[in-house]
Amino acid sequence: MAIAGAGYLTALDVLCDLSYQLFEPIANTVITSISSSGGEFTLGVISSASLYAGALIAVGYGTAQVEITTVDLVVNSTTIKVGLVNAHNVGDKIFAPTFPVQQPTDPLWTQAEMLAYLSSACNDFLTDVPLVYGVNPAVNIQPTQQNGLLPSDCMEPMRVAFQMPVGPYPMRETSQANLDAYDYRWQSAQPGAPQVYFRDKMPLQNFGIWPRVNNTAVFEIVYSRRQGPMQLLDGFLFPDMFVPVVKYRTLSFAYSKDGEARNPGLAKYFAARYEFGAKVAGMILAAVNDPNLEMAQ
Amino acid sequence: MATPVTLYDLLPDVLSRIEEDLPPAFNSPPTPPNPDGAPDGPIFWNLMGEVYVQMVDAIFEAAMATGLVQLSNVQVTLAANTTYFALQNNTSIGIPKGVIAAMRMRAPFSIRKTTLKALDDYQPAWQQTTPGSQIISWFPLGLSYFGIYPQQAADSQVVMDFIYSPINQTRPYDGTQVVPLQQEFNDILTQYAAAMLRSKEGGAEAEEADVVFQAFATRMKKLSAFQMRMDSLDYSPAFGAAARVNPREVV
Repeated sequence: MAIAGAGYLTALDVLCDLSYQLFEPIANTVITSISSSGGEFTLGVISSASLYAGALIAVGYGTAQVEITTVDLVVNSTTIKVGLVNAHNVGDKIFAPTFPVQQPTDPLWTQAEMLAYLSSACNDFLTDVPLVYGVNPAVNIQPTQQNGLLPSDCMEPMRVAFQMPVGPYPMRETSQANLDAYDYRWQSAQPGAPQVYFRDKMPLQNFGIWPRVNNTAVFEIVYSRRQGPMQLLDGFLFPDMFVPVVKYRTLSFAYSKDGEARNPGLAKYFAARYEFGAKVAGMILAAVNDPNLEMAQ
Repeated sequence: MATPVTLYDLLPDVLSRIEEDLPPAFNSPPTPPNPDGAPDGPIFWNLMGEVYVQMVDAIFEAAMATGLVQLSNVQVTLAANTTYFALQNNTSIGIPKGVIAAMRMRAPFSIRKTTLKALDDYQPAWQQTTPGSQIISWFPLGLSYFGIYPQQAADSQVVMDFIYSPINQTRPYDGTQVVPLQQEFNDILTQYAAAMLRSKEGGAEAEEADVVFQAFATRMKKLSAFQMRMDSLDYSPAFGAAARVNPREVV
C-alpha cells in the first residue's frame, strides 16, 4: 500500500527526474495485449526498451489501478512477462525509472540504491528541518514499567503529556543523570502520576517516565516524524514545494558514489544546493512557528 | 489585469537559453516556420520529463524562498472536542490539498497565534479546560497540524489563511500550469530552469549554471516575504559554501 503524501509527487516522479539528470533512459511504454497463464501475465508492449528482468515498473501508471510489479522476463522487444494483482487494460501505461544503463552486469545505479538515497535524503532533510509532525494521543507504558515505546515513525518527541481523566497534562523533559542527582533513589519512588520524561540511557525509540504508574499509563505525544524507506509509489510527508531540496540531496549522493559516473564537482554543487534549500526551509519553519509572525501580505 | 502566464508561454525563453528547438507547431501553423527545418525540439532535453519539471521546480523554489503564494479566506470547520487538526490530506474540514502552513485564523476577528510551548509554560492544564464557544488562541505544529485552545463544545467555523503550494497536480506537467507568481518572477524562473537543465552537462556548463542560480537566489532574497521580517543576512551564509563546481586552474 503506497503511502499518501502531503502533496502530489511520488518517489517514482522524483526518480524519473534523477534519471534524466543522470542520463539514464526511462521505461515509458503502453500495453498492446494481455494474456495470462498460471498466474503470470504476458504483456505485449510497444517497446521493451529500458526493461530488464528484475526491474520494478508501474503498470497502469496514471490510473487508479496502478501497481508496482517486477519484470520476470523480457521475451523480446515487444513482449514482457510480469506478475499482476490488479486488473489492467490494453492501452494502460507502463512507466518506471529503471536505471537500465549497463544492466545487468555493471549498472551505474540501481533502483533499490536510488530509492535508498532518496529515503536517506528525506530523513536528512527532516532531521535538518523538522517540518513534519505527528500527534499520537494513546502511547502506553505498561503498569509499573519505567520505559515505553515511542511511535514507530517518531524521530524526536517534542512534547509528552500524561493523559489524566480530565485531559492531557504536559511533562517536563529531564535526564536520568539529572534524576540521579536529584534523588538517587528515584527509581524506587512510590508509583504516582508521572511528572517528567527522559530519553537517555535506554534502548532506541524508547522514553522513560518518573515516577512509574501502577496501571497502564497513557500519553499524548507530539513528535517530529521520519520518512520510512520509500517505495516507488510512496508520497512525501512534506509538501511538493520542498521536494526539489531532497532531489538535490539525492543527486549529491548519486554523484559522489564510487564508479564510472562519479562526479565530485556536481556532488559538491548539489550538496550546496541542498544546504541552501534546507536553510530556506528552516526559515519557513521558523516563521511558521513564530507567534509574532502572521506572514500575511 | 495581466493574463495568467503558463509554463507553455515561458517555454521559448527557457529553450532558447539552452539553444533548443521549440516543440512542433509551437504557437504556429504546423508547417515549418524555421527555414532550416521544422521545429522538432527539444532534442537533447525531454519536454515533459525535464523542461517543464525544471520550470515547476523553479516555481517551487521561488515560492519556498518568498512565501508569496497564499490562499486567503478559507472556511474551515473545527470539530467539537478536538485540539489538533491535520493540515495535510484533511479536505473534509475545508483545508484544500496543497496547503503548506497556516498563517492566520479568524472567527470572525483575528485569533491570537501562540505556540504549544507557550501554552504549556503559561497554563500547563490548558488541555483540561472545559470546551467552550470562543477560541482564545491557536498554534501551529510545523507543516502538519495546528491546534486550538480551548476545544470547542460544538463544531465551529473559522476563516484561515495559508501558504499554498504553487502547483498542485500529479505528473506529467503538460505546459498548461499557470505560474502563480508576479510578472517580475518570470525572467528569473526561466533562468533557473535553463540553469538546472544545463547542470547535468557537468564541467563548465554546471559552473555557469551555478552563477545563474546565485542570481536567482539573490533575486528571491529581494522578493521574499520572509526576508522583510527576518534578518537581512539570512540567505547569504548558507550559499557561501556553494563555491564552484569542478574548480579549475586558470593559466
